[in-house]
Amino acid sequence: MLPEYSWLVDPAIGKVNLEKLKRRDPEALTAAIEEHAGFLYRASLGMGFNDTEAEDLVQDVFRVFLESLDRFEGRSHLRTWLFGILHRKAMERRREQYREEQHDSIDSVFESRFDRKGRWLRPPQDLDQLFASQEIGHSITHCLEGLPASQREVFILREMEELETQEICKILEVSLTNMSVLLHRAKIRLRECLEALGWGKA
Amino acid sequence: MGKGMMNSRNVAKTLTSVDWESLSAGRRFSIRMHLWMCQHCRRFRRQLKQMSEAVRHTFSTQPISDDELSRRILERLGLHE
Repeated sequence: MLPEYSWLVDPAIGKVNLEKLKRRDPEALTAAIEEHAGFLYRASLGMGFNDTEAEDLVQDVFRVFLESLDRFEGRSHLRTWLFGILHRKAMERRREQYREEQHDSIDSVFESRFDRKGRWLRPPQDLDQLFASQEIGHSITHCLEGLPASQREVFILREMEELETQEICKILEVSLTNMSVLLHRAKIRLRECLEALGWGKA
Repeated sequence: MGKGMMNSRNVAKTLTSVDWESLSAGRRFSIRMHLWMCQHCRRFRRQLKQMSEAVRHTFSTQPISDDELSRRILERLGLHE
């Protein structure tokens, strides 16, 4: 993190700058956009939006941010606040119900890999060749498409943006338990898909 | 759970759902012990790591640069000086 923007990451450090933001000081706003726009944009792409949609989304996030600045008390990190807006805007665009399903078919796929004593029945296949190949980018994009939106979002925020789990829970407004279930299902589903693609390549 | 050795299913489940840092020392130890003996779980863990790296790499090359993006956003919000 760039030191000169550290107050943006933790506004509690510099109340003055938070005040500047609230006064819509152009310099402070520019700094906030320069610091966070790229992360929000990449996350949007990761979540499956195309480049135009992703750019519109980021613009939406900052528009809402400007409108809601007075409610931002600096208790949560600015980044968390922005990603929270991104999450809500992305949901609006998808018009998709965001919920954690009680039953997900991937759970039985996972269980079917082990015997009753929890030993591997169908161990993971060797995928080194797939991961080393040029096609891995396409394979990843293709397999991400197969993830339900909620699982995909958790996976992107955690594995790509490398946000803390607590922060992700705040952004998505879910419990740690729910988030863990989503992350587990996302990783298992993605790995299963990659294995199906990589089958026979070894 | 948590007592003694972990089985492969529980290791795989733990590795996919929780942060390593959030695990107790005892739990970490039993996972390490299991990984030491189980090549399938080692492969599984390696693939999780490869997956994350591949995702980061895939989206690291983006259509427009961060600077250009910021410039456009500022302009669209009417904040460009």
